[in-house]
This record gives sequence, structure tokens and C-alpha cells, in this order.
Amino acid sequence: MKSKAYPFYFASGALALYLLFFVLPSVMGFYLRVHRLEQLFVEVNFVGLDNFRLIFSSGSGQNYLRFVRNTVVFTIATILLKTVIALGLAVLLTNGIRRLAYFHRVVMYLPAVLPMLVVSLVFKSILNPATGLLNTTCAQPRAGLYGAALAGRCDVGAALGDRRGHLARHRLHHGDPDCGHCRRSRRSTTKRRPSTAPAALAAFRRITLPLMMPVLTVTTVLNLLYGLKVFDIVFVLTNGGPGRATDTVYTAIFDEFSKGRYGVATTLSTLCF
Amino acid sequence: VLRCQRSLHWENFATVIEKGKLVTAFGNSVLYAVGATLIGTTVAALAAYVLSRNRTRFNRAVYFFIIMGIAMPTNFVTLMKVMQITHLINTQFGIILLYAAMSIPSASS
Repeated sequence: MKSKAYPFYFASGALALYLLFFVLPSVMGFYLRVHRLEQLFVEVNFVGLDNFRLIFSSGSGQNYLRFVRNTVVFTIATILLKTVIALGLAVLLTNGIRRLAYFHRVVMYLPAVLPMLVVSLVFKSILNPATGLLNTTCAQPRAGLYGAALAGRCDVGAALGDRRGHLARHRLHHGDPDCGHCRRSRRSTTKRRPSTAPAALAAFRRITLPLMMPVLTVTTVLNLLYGLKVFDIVFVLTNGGPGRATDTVYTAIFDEFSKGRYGVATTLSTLCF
Repeated sequence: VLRCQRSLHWENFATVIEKGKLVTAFGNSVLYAVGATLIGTTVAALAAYVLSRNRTRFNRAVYFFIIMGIAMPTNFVTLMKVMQITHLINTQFGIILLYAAMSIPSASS
């Protein structure tokens, strides 16, 4: 079914660029893996599989396998969290929210426009142990969610407006869980809940989830690739520290590059492949 | 510690734009983005058209060969060497071509 209408030279542009900037460097990388370079292609010594041996031995000063473990942990954790949270939000956006649905969708998509670097910088200042927003808020008694929880006046649920917390607070205030206000609200929720929640859950599990499977596969693969290649967040937030405790494979590669050990760096980059 | 300030300092924006040379930087960003997108999309669309309409065994192999680039790590040391050899290093056209090439695997899929 070869047709003259679709000549192969149409694909030549893509192939040429791809070969030049992807395949050629990778093939040259095979050469680099078994050599030790003092300067970039000026002085080259053949070292065989020493680069591989360095990475897989634990007694070589740097514990490279630890970086691999960090990367794997990061990848699995982010895949799970991202998929679960995002799927819940997506269901909410398509079914739950009636008013201003498009506005909410835009708000949800907005972080994709921001560069990861800027987000990481903002979070670095928020998460700073001494001066960050998170810790100073926690330290203030009765200020904010965590302050309320820490002060022991009510549980976190109360701060979130949860019914359970609401009940607990009432019990604390006048020792009676069955005051009229509470009973009224409890009756109204128990009447509604058992009829809708299991049905919605069943619908989600039997209908939504099976139909979503192809999409979930694609997102999982993309998340997997992103997780294995993670660099920018780690580099900005911790820079692999304290010590080298949070280094991932790609921050370790960056470190080797800056030390001029190109062979080791290239060998490390094959670990993810 | 965050504290409420007495007045707003809008001139900070002007300082940043002036000192950071943001006008030139933004112009360059636009140039790279537009150039790379144009080249990358055109080239990838041409390739995808041929590869999807002519489903020969060879074309399928070429397709998977290109798709492989999504997962393949970029080797920056050797990439810089290639850029040196082709005299594309430190040129605007070079970075446009590079960005275009990097978008080809995912764009062709």
C-alpha cells in the first residue's frame, strides 16, 4: 500500500534534526562511558567498565545507589499523590461544581503556566525552617489551621469546618453532644449521606475508573518519565542537601558534570534509561 | 517575617525591567519559542503525515525510532560537542534548532 502521494522525504527533516541532536550525542555517549576525560575530548584515557564499577560499589565515597533510591521513592510517591489528588479534583470539576466551572478549571490549570523554578523558589521561602511562612504560622498559638490543632482547643477537622470537629467542640463547650443545634444538623446529614455516597462511589469505581484507564496509563507513563528525570525542584529546594541526603540521579549527574567527570556523569544518566 | 507595609512601591517593577534587561530577554524568549515551535511543528507534522499514511514495515520502525526519543536521556556533554562541530554553539539559530529537535519525538507521536 505504498503510495506516491506520501513521499518519504517529508519525514527527512524531522529525522535529520532528531539524528543530529538526539541520536548522535547518545552514540557518542557510549564512547564516553568507557573513557575518562580530563578535558572535553582533549585528553582521553580508556578505563573500561571502571565508571560502572564506581557507581555500583558502595565504598566509593559517593553512594550513587542512594541517589537512585531517592529518585525511585520520589517517582512512586509523586505518581500516586498526583494521580489520586488530580483524579479527585477532576471528578469534582466535571461533576461537583456547578457554578463558575470554567473559572475553577482555569484556576486549576494556572500552575502549569508557571515555571517550576519560580514555584520552587516560592516554596523554598515558605518551607524555610527558621523564617518560613509554614513554621512561623505553626508557632503562633491559635493562629491558622496548625496553630489551632497544636493549641489543643479543637481538632484539625474543626478548623476545616468538618462536622466531627464541630461536634467535638460542642462537647467541649457544654459537655452535651446532643444539644438541639447539633442534633438537627446530624439528622439532616444522616438522612442524605447513605443514599448518595455509596452510589457515587460505586459509579466512580464501576464506570468512571474503567473508562479512565487509557488516560491513566498515559499520565502514569508521563509522570514516571518526569519523576525519573526530576532535577529542577530538587536543585532549587534542597540542592541535594543536607549533605547529599536528598540527591537524585539527575542532580548527581549535574554535580559530576560540574566537577568535570563527564564519563561518570554519562554513565549515571544511563541508569535512568 | 511578613508584615504589612505602609505604601506600595510600584517603581520596583520599573527597576526590575530596566536592570534585568527584561525587554531584550523577553524578545529573545519569544524568538526562541516561536522559531522552535514553527520548525518543530512543521517538520514533525510532515513526518507524522507520511508515517501514518504509508504504513510500511520500514515506516513503523522509523516511527518507533523517533518515539524512542521521548524516554531517551539527553547527553549534554556530547551534545555540546556536536554543537561545536556544527558551529551552532552560542548562536540563536542553534538554540532554536535544538529546541525544535527536542520537541520532535513528542510532537510526532
